[in-house]
Amino acid sequence: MMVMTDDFPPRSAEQPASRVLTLQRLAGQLQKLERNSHPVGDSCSVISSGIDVLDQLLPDVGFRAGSLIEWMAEKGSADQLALLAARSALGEDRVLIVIDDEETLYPPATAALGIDLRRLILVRPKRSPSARGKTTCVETLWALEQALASRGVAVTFCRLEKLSAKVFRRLQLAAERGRGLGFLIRPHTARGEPSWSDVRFGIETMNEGDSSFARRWRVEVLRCRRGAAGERFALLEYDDATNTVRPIAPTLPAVSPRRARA
Amino acid sequence: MDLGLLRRLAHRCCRYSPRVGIEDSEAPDSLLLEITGGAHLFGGEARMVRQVVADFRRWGFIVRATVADTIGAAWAVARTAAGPIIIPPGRQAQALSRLPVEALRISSEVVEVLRALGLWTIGHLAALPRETLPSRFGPEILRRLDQACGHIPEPIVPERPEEPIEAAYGCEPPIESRAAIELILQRLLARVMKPLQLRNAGILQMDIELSVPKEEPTQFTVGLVRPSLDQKRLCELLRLQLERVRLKGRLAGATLRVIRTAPLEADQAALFEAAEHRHARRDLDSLLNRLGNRLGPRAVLCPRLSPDYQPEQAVEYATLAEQVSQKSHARSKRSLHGGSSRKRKDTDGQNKNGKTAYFVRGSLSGCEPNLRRPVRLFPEPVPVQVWSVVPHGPPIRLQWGNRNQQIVHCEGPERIETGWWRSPSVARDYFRADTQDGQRLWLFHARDEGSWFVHGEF
Repeated sequence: MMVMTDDFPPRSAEQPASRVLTLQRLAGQLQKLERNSHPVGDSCSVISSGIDVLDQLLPDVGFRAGSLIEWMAEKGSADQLALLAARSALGEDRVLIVIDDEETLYPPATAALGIDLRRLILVRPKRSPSARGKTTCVETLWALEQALASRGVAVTFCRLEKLSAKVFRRLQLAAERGRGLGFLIRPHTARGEPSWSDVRFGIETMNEGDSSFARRWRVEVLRCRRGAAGERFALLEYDDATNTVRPIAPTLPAVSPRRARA
Repeated sequence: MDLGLLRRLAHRCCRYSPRVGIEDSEAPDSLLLEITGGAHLFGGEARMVRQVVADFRRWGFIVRATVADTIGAAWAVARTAAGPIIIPPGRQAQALSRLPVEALRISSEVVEVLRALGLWTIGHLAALPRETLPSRFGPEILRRLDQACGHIPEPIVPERPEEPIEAAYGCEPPIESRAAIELILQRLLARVMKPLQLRNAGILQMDIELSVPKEEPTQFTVGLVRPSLDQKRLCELLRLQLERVRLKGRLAGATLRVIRTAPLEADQAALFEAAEHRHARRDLDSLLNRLGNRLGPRAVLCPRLSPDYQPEQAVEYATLAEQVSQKSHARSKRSLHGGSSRKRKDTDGQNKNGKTAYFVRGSLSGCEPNLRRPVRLFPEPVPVQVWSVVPHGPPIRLQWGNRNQQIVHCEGPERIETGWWRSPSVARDYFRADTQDGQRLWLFHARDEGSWFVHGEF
């Protein structure tokens, strides 16, 4: 005996157009659910990274104010791109705070990227000799939380390796209070760790070996709180002569969505 | 000359005269001393001047000193003559007559006009009909001429050392409770705030001393980005510092000293300034205060470019306190220039410190924009082993610690050399090198040592 109902037609009977509509409706509901998880009064203000291709990877075409952005990369390779994205987020009168406990950020390079040094503040908490290595010292985390929670700071930039879920949540709440952006530069080894960030980018540098010597990155959205997670990536090239970032290939779907959700 | 230094020197000069002032100009570098009725205490004017010059030399300053009836005459003679000079009473007109017109403290534009007309000395100018001077050369010239000759008064505005503001509290018996210590500091703060409110000044820096019986007192400093009399915020900063203090016993007494103050800025909103921007500004000040007080003054830095090609020297870091003092210096300079007219009778010391050097501060415009510099520069260059096809040429392989990496692309060299007069001098060939792992390193070959180093990472 075969029972047929109008509510659950067999898959073969569904028209392709209606399937697309169903998927869109479900995606919309999912986005709505996730949006509702944001605090009341969050007017969804979006801050552009100043790099169109990067903005296009995100569901809001930019970063949500009051969020954390993770840049997962091998040591040093994401700093330049993250600082370029911070440049346009500074706006007219807010500042960029760099929590630099390694004391390595080089301001002339930051100035060359187009960041006004009058609006750059370096915070260099002293690491105790025992904390040298991969442990993030308490002072660094305290300074990071304070900077994230301040309304006068547009972007807080920090390199972090280990980060517990509890501390991460504290940082995220601080970022929500401050309504700025928190750029956390993290190693690839932290991919498997739980995250409270809004967006997690995976950055890989590309060595083409051509004569231009331009800096090239493959930027992949590994995780995004509100849809489109891991489904897109972009290839970017930085031209230091003009101080601009441009796409070098059209944006394509990622090969493996599963990898993207790591 | 630094206005703060000039003020400190003025305070030192109170030993010679009860009224010591600073000249009224855009770049003051002269001190004015009223010595009427006081020169005999030093054995006469000549001896007094010699002593002043000798004392300044002992403090590290070479000065010129002149005694005259008026500020204008003393200033003019001190600028044009080398040694200590005493102009006899009532003879300033004769002393001035042969001096050039620029000695009258008039603007350079007026000086140019006078010279173009062949009026080279003050004597030439004084010979002209007085009534015609303002219409021909502006009102300033007649005022300065009359001040120099003593026809109109010019008072000295005295520089008075501010009375120290401090408050102390003794505990009998000594106490241990943190809450009680906090309460004591809050009370001390309230006490020092009263005189500051009368002066309309805010606290920029205060020192706190906590005494423990039979132990060295514990001291800490609270610094602020902007002058403030906001008790709540000041208490928060005190609490931040107190959290880190470990007393070696019970508290027997506490002293709070206000070290630096500055006029309170009127926090008036601009007509079209959004409330959000105002809050953001206040929030940032509060954040910087907290960071500076908890992490220490050297932990919060404002970078500035410096015109130097050596990478380590191409940037300078100012602490928040230095940044604030520069701003307040600029403000106080502006307020001084708007001062009233002065009258004076005798000495003028012109400081000429041969040791003072002037540096051109780097700015964004002073940076060479095409220089490619790494985002991360290591505090110390890291020695590495490098293989090249040609000696000292572009590297093709790199051994950095345990990692052996192939270099897939290399650009350079960029030669950076410092002058022989700088010690230690630097002679380096820099290369940008991409490794197979995707790192872009900034390598250099030290030409004098022949060794290779990694200096930064892009």
